[in-house]
Amino acid sequence: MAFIDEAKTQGRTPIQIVELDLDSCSLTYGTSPCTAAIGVTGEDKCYNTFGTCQDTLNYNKTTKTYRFISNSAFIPVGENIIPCLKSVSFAPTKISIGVGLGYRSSCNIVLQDFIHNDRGIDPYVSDRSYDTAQGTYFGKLFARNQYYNGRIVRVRTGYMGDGYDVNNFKTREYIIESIDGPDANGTVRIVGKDILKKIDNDRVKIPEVSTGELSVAMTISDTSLTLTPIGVGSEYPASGIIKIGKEIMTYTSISGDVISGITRAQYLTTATTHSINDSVQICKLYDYENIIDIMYDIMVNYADIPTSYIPYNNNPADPDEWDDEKSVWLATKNYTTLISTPTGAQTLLDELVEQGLIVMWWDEVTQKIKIKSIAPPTYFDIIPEINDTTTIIKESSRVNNKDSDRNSQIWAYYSPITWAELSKEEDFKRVYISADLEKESVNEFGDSRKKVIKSRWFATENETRVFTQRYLNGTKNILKELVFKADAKDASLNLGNYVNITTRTRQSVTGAPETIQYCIVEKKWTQAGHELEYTACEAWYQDQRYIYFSQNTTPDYTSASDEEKARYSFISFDENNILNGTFTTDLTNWTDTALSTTIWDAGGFAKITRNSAGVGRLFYQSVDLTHRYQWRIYVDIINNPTGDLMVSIYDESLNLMQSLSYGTIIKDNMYRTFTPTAPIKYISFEPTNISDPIHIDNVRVVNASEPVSSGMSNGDTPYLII
Amino acid sequence: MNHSIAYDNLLTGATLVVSSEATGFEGANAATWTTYDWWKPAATGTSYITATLPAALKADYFAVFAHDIDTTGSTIRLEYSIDGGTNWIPCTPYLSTPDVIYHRMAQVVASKWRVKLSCPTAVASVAVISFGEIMDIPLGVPESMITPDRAFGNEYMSNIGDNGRLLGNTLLRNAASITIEALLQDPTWITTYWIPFIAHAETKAFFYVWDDTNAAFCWTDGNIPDIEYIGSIWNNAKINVKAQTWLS
Repeated sequence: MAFIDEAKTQGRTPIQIVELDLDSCSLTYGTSPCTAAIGVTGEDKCYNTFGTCQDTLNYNKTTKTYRFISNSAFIPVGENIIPCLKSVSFAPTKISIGVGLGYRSSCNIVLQDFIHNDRGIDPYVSDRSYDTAQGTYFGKLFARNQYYNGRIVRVRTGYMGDGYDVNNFKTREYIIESIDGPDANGTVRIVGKDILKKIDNDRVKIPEVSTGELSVAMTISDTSLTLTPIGVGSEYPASGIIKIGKEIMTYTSISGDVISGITRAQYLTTATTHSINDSVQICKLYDYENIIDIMYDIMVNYADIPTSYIPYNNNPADPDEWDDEKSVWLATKNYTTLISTPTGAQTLLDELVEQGLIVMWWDEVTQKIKIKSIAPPTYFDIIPEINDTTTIIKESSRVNNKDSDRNSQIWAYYSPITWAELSKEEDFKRVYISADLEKESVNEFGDSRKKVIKSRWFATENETRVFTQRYLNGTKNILKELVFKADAKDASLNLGNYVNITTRTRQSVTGAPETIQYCIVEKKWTQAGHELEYTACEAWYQDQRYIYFSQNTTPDYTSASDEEKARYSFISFDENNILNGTFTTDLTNWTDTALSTTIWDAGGFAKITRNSAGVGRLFYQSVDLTHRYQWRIYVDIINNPTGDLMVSIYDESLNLMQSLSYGTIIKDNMYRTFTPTAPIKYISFEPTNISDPIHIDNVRVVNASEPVSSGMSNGDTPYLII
Repeated sequence: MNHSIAYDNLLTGATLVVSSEATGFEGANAATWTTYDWWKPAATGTSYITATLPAALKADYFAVFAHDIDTTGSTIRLEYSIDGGTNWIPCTPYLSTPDVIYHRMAQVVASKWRVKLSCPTAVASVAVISFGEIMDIPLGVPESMITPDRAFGNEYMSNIGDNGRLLGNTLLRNAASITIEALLQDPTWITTYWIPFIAHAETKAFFYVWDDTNAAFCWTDGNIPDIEYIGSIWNNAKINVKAQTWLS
């Protein structure tokens, strides 16, 4: 049974298993290709670990998994799982909206050491000359496995329901940060950190620090240089960008340690002389690349995070989670920047997350790095409803006011004076400020809260303005966090999910519980398999309007549900014309002379040429027309050709219902009255014998009871206008 | 109601030969009192653990704990030989019950024993196998004692919503806590039988049997109380244990 189904079972029986992956050699001692031999390479056999290996050249690393379970009554039959797990505690991931990467997850595992006979642990236990029962399990294990840092530790949480099946467990995976013990009481402590530890600033710099130096001084006009020490040229790409002192240069070739084809004083820098042994630093250029691709590059190509942790295909035909986020929200966030000073990966990702208005976190359960734009739910998001009765555990909810995160002014510095230095506000030419001074007034918060960012990513005023305004809108009021506990049955809520919460701890001015949309930012098991604590942050977009293009599958207005009509805006061909339905157009053979495109917008008009074989058609998804006794179709003729105009009205089966002749074309307003006998599918206009192309516009369908008036300018209410 | 303790295990002092064992599931694991390592034959069929003792010793019980013999459609029985292993005589029937397998048998004295595990369709795993001489506690189960089948160690946790609605509940399975009591015993019996048992129980598990047919897998829990003198003649001996009658 799946985890969440087990969690919903009355009388569920949770268990936790810890798995420790340590290195192990796949070979057998003394068996080729292992050349180890007792008395030659050592006094006794190894333990198939690198630390005890006697033939390291042939050491063949695999992984051996050691498993531990809580010291409870239940042990799955036939599974080598040792009941010595005393406790597991988690510091869960916490998403910090608008302020970088947030809190990263970790686990703290406590195990109890015990006397052990080495069976199942020592591959050569029966060959030992000593008493294999001496010593303790962990004492021996860590004496033989000294190299455990960076290896994997997993915590699996599940239920003993219809039988033990570890595939139904939720698994959290961490990198081993430290192992302490066993101490005098036999306690062993393992600390695991999430995969994002790999981006720590002290581990990864972008660009990597270059070790080449000038072998001789450089004049103000030299176009080549020689690197020292000898051979260091292999660090440098065939062509690229380098920085010496505060001057940035490009080069076109490198041969050995000689860089040639140098163009001086690039990226807003000035050519100067440089001294012998000055550092020659490679620069990293992102040239109008999407924010998603930049983040991926930093993580994969610099921080060495396995691609399996990053759900990104960069392939619209096979989109993964990052692809979807990119296509819906981030497609236009393309940045150009030059990183001329080695900068920590976390610093860069913090900047991108903050300035890109996205959140990023490690999901230890799915073992993926997740990203999400700070934006409202999409059409396809199903928003769970949570309340005090069915979800929130009694007396467990509380509200935290996050006043410290409030801002009244956002200052964004952008456009650097020179790409050689970007650390101070004075290094930038421009600043864009968004401020809400009313919030600073004595009748509101009465103080000024200024947030300053220095952006290497923003290039234009427009994108800087968008950022500062959205950031201000998101933080100008006190955001509230709701913390509540829930039963394991509600464990399917995950970080980044939107939820509508109604609780008496959030009331309206009338005292009624308010339903407010939140984003889950923290999820923590307070009792494994039994109870969780969620932290939900009030959505940033609460008081903002977002517009995005919905998916192709979104129905037209007339077919949309009430919820969809409320959720979306629908675009029509003129203002105020969606009353009972919407026109779509088949503009085959229609041209918009104003725009020279096939789009017939409010500023243009449709032109039907005399010799066209086809007929321009205005499709109408009929709703109310069938209920009216009579309608009139008005049309404005913009130019003044001679000829006739026919209008044909077709039903939903595309059968001709009525055909009306307008007779001789008259400039300006024309109309014909008709009585529909069935819902109308489309109306077509067909000019005949015209002297010139006919330009028509402002097609209107009105109730025939409306007074006839030229140009529809007397306050008549048209049902449709094109 | 009679009660007994089965802690003497002839497997632990014997030379073992295992006919079939999967890697990491050695037959020797069944001779320990640990419930986290297993004997698991390498394939279906009949497998044996043959135990050769330095001298002939008595056995009148056979017990198995932590196994899936029943769910895998397997059976287990104890056999002995008095001709060096040429002919084997069963001393128990084929057994295949869930939880604790316990069988009181007619006493046999032999130096050659074997456990026969038949797994016709699926391979079974067994953590604890024990046979030897049982220790009967005279005078039966005291009135003050709660037997394992009447003791409950499980924990139950529930979550409720604001209006008292049950949101979910959790069962944490634990062994029951009981006190095995041997009251008003002859000091000679205490010296001869109880004290050696306590020496075993200080470090190893054992089986506690009540009414001759039901057994629980037990281990010492907390301190072992001192032996009391009653009226300067009789002794009261007790031991606090965790008792398990089921595994999962």
